[in-house]
Amino acid sequence: MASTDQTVPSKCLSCSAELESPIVCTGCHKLYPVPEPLDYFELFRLPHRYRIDLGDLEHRFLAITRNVHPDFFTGHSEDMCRLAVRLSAELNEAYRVLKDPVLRAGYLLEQSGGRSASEDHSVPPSVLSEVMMLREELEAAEGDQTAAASVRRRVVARRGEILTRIAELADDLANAGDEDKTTLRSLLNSVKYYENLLAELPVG
Amino acid sequence: MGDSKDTIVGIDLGTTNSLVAYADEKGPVIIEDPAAGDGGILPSVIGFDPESGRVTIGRQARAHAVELPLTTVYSVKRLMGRGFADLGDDVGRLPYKVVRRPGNEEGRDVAAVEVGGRALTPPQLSALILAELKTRAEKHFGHPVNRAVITVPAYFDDAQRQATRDAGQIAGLEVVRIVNEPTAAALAYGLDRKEDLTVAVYDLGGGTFDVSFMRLREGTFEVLSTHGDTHLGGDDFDRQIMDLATREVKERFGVEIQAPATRQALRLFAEAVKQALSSEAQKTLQIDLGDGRCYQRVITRAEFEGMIDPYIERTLDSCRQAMRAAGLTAGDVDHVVMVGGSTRIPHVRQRVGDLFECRPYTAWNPEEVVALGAAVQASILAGVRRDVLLLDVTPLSLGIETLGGAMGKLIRNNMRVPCQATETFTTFQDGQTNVKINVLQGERELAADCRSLGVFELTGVPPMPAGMPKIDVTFLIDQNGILTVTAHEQRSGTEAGIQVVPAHGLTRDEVRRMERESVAFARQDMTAHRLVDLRNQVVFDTNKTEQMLTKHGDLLPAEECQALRRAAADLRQYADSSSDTEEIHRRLQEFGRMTVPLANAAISATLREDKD
Repeated sequence: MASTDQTVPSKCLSCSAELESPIVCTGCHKLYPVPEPLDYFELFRLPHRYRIDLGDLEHRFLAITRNVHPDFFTGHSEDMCRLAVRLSAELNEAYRVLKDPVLRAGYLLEQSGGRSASEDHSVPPSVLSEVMMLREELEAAEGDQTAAASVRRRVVARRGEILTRIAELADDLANAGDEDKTTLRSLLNSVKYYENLLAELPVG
Repeated sequence: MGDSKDTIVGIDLGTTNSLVAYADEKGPVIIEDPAAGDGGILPSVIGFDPESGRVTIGRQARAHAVELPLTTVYSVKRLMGRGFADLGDDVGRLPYKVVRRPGNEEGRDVAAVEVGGRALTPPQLSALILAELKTRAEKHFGHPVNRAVITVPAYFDDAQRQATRDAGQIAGLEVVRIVNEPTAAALAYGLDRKEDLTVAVYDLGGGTFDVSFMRLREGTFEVLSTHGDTHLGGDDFDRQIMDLATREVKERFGVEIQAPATRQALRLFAEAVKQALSSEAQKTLQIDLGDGRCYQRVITRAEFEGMIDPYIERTLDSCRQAMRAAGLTAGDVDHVVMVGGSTRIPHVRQRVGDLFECRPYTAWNPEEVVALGAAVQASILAGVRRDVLLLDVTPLSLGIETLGGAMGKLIRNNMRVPCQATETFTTFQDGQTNVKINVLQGERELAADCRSLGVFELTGVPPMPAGMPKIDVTFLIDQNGILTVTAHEQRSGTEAGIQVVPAHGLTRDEVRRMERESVAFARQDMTAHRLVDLRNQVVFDTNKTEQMLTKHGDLLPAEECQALRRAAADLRQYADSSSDTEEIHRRLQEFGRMTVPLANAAISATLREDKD
């Protein structure tokens, strides 16, 4: 795992302060090149766990952004500006993935090795038939707001249940067996069906 | 105040009005030109005097819109970064002539305005407005101003942003940042607020509509989502009134309102009616059709509200979509900030207030708030302040055309910028060294329904069997919302060259040429100005001489008086027919020397009269 990466110094090369992120020194604004490989958890100095404090993540994100955002490098050399844009883009992507429960679980799964959920394609038939049924109900409820709201509530509830199971399995993938990973892949694929359904529901 | 090197101004380049502002530690202010008398709000109108060739910007140009409909250009922003083909109905509605720019290469389609025998592109026209604002700022500071932050509608695509940047360069301004208008407005609004807030910015201007949802926290202004319509605004409301009048005039009098001057006049009437209906219950529209025929029509506020309601409904739909993308409900929104002149309309405020279940915030002047926010962003970039940071999103998805004509999304809308995506391409034929990629922007599923930003051609791919090369193409959207593309061939390690052919924009060379031309253009304008001044001087001097001859001619020999009369007439005739300013100036001087004996005689006579 990338947490043992030797290439990133732990102290700032320019001011010796403890580095709060491998890409920038929050003390003196020194920028570091994009680490190879780039580990999203390591970027925020967070443990590789699914359970995450979103408020804390946001706080860390804002603190790092305040030091790498290209707006603060106007007037610096072109190389420096380009690096700031590059680092900001990576940071934004890392934050987007870690903030989202499904993407975060998928990322942890990928890091733990083996096939990713999308390569696996597996979805339990029961999920497919339930989604199909919900979709039919939704079509029948066309124009009927209370019926549509009832479908929405059930979709939200189902998604919540699956997310709870994802959380249980994804929190400690380093010690998980192949069976758990297989289940997690199938759950990650299933939850997408409910999310797509939610996105199709009328704005309300 | 600093010197020219670190002064960065904020500019709101609007459809209807444009403003320039500056912010120091104390906060942002609008820069005014007291001589212009427009309170810092420069109408985005460019007038070309067909006779003198003189260019006027702002109020003066707008005042001549009816007289000179073909050479008065307004709403240029609607044309920015767009092809002639995708302008559609807009072309017919504008009184000036919009053409496909001559000399376009194959596959490129740039719209232009034909005025005085020249085809000027929208960036060149916008540059004239920017140059005027630049001059205002320079007058204010007393030193050159070469850098600016310019705002654009959040929903502007890459080509429209690029066109705005080109306009800046042509005007001699380095555009250090393109900022989305609602974001700029929120920056001005939230600057002094310490609490955590969720804010909606509803920005309805002359030609565009934007809505953004943002979170203000710890000095960061984070855009959560944005939505909009680059073709919806107050102009549409004017057009509703114009269409009504055109229809009824035809029904009642059998007259078709077609003449550009009449249409231009009707547009101004319609605008006045719209504005009056914000404070009055009804307003009479009156058009004199000549021959004693007069069209009179009372328009009530309720009727007007009915006309514009479908447009407002469209804006509310955008609000709902953006709210959903941000994962918010109306109850989460603490404040709604109203921006843009069209939010002065009570019905707009009412409907927006109903949607968000709160009273919209209207304390700021809706016309000034965007420029003020741009100035705040400028002060951040100039290093004046580091306590505030803007985090914006990309309004539109970016992708490439895949086999079968589908849109393959690489970067989704509402992703935080800067952002990047990498896609691997290969070749289909043995030894193929070029790969063409059509880059698309938009939300639709089919490539044909999205906007093509241009075709990127990867060149210099090492010849290999088909499918062997692996070319990583990285699409990067920077903090300005502007796209750059880089490519890298994995096997050979070569950086593949990328040629950008913008479908609706100008090439770098064209922009540089226009930048040089604009300097020449300004000089040409100065020449025209000087010609007018010289001609006025000729009229003044010759009239004066004739008056003196009438009064004191008897003091000089008759043949000398005759010669002076002839010289005056000759000079006038020459000045009227020639535009050679040097020669007119020389002849004017010579004429002046000829009149010395007469002037001396006249002075002596006047002195004698005084003594008597």
